[in-house]
Amino acid sequence: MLFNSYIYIFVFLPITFIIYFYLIKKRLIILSKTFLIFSSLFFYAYWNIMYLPLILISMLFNYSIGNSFSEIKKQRIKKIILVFGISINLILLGYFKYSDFFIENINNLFHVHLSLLNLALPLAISFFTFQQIAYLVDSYKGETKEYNFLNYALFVTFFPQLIAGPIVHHKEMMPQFANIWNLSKNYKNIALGIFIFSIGLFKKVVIADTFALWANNGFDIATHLNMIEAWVVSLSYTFELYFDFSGYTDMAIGSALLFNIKLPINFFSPYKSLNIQDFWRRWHITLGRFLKEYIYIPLGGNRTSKVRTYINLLITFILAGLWHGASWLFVFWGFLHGMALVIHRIWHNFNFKMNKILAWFITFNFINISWVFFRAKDWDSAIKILHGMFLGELILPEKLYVLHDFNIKLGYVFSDIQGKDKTFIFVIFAFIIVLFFKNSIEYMSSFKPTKWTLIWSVILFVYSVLSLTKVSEFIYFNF
Amino acid sequence: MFKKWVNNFFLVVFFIFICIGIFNYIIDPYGIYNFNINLPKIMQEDKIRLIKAIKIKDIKPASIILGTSRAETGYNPENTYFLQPSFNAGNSGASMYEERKYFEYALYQGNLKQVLLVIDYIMFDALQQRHVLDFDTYFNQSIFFKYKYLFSLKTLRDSIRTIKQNKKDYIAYLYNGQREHNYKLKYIMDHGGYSKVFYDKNYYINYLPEYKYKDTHKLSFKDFNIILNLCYKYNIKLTIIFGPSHILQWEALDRYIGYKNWLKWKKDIVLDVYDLARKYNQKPFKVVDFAIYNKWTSEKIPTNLQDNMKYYWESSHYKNCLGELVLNYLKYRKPKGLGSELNIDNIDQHLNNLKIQRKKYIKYFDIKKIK
Repeated sequence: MLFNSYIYIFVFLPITFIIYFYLIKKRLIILSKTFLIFSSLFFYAYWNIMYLPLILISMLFNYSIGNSFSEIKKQRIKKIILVFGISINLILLGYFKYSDFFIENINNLFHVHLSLLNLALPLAISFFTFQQIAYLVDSYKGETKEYNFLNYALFVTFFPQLIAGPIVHHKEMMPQFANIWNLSKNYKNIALGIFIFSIGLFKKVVIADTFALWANNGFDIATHLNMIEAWVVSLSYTFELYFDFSGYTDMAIGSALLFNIKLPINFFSPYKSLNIQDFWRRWHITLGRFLKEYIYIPLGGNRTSKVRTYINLLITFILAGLWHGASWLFVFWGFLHGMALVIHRIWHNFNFKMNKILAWFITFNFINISWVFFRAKDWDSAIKILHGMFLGELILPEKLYVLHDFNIKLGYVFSDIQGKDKTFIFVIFAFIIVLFFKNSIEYMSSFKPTKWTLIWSVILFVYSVLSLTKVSEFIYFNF
Repeated sequence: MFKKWVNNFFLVVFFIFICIGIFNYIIDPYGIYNFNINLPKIMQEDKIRLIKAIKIKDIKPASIILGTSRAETGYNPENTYFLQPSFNAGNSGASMYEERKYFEYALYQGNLKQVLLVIDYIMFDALQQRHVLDFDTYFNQSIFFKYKYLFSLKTLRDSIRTIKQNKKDYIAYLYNGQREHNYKLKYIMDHGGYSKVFYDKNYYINYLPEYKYKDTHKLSFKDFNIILNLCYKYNIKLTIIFGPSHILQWEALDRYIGYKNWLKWKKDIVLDVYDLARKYNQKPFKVVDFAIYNKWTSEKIPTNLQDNMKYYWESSHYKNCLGELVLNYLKYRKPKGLGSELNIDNIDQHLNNLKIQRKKYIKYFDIKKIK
């Protein structure tokens, strides 16, 4: 089920909310939690019921493994069980997500013709696998305290974060499910939830989906792009991805708040970053946290030699690329980010300083260009966009006829991407929002129940719901 | 304080939605609620894919026309060639997938017996498999389906435009799904006459000869075969035609897709139809080529603004009167020379003839200007 759908906003969410708190009011606490788990599973299965057994088996398996650590005293046996648990999770993820990628590469490398499995990627598998691996590692270290199955099941399946994160940590979730103070209706949380949900809905439905049209046309359909078109296409995707995913996260945070659950922050104005390290502290923060704690640090982090640290960074980000999808383009995107982090670290080690505007300019453009590889379906599409951006023909709008004497071609600028003059205005508008406005988390933390916040919430909510007829998926559902 | 804020939020939101819903229902900018307010539905074009799906459910046609805007413009469902009630489900830039969905939906209504499939190359090579994001939802209509469009910003804007418009007698589409017969006349006159709008040499600039939808890379022949299979299964009389666009259209096609590829596509269609007939051990469906060289498809383009064209709006779209001739040909094989029935035995000869006739006919036009 999509957050940006009538069924979610007007049926699923209100009904789940009402029944959940009704059961709590009747002091049926266990039943209320069980109901929330079943509602979450319904939310998951609404998309495709076929994969419901998969998430159930995965949840039971990981809970049993995690629980077994408290009963086993011998460290060696615990380690064997941990390796077994992580392996099963990775095999499951690998089977569904990477089998065809692996087979394709074998076919290309050895010139054989093994058949592809053509498996559909189970929804949210990358997210719930990562969450549960973290749980296993921490249980092994003895850092988990909560062994109640209902709370564990809620930690994995709780619908606001189930499909595309934030990648929550058991330490921040399970105590919240166990806390009895979270079991009563809290109007402050409801108001905050509505407020941030409305912002998220607007980001997704109005902003991201508008940019999606030009990005999709440019990447997937147009065969030629002029220079301005190519830049607009790449920027459209850069903004689409941000507003899509941060919009999703805002809606997840808002939905969870209705149930008095606080999800972690996942975005904090990433396009304001002045360097690549700063970017990864602001973009998909929970993924960055996972990569750091469960890949980078176990590899040795920065506690070893400089060269080894750089290699660790590269490995971590190549794996981050691969986590996003089974394609060499994702691997290359991860490699680019890993390299950028290595260069940044070298720069930092030399204690060089850079003008802030120049630093932002370089960082933003690097991110924008690297997203081209992230979005493109194949290398040819990526090269088409980059060729347009740097070597494409410069065509300016006919309105600028004064430039005709300078031998600059004038004409219809956005014809290949179905854009109009407003395309350019939208890009400027997006720059202003991401660079000069507070982010939704900042707005939420300064929220007061005034008539102005009411008016803004109503405008954002009504405008977004009225734009819902063209329902589209979230980009991160594919990962 | 927070409780009051939450209550006010729901109250205001509810009030706004009710007002917008009632307003859109009364104005009914797409003509889907049958609320009889006498305003021309000038905004139907923007939602025509949705409207056609709703109409198919309402009409439950016995026969249906499938194709792109060429089919939508050229063929009158009320012609006696068609079993009645009949509906024109052609759509601008339609992919084979989209037309397959209309066909399946018409079939699902339980009354369908006859199909005229007017195929165009762009259906097999469409830039988008679905031209609207929620296209698939049009064919899963619950009782409340069409009412969700009451709560839409687009509907609200279109309702306001419908009120503000001053086109008193404007009709974009006929009830039977066909384009209004003279809908393009004003556009042509406003743009300086037929010679100014007739030929677009970059018409096929974004198309590639690969029988795949460009956005999804799905194979279009799969959808074509689904239509054929279902026609055999449910005993539907299917006729497949290549529409009679003006011969200059194929010169535009030659620039980006290649004339050879176009001929190959025709052959692939015929072979596919015959393969399937063999599979079902039945007679192949009728395939008639009207995209050939003759006096109709090579109509002269007037240079004066006031001069009219009899059969064409521009090189791609033909008028209802040429569509009538096509339907007449399908019934009585008259007028002679308008079309050519294809089969596995004559296809190679037919394609050779086209190559020869191309050279003969095209010299009557200013080739330099075209190329």
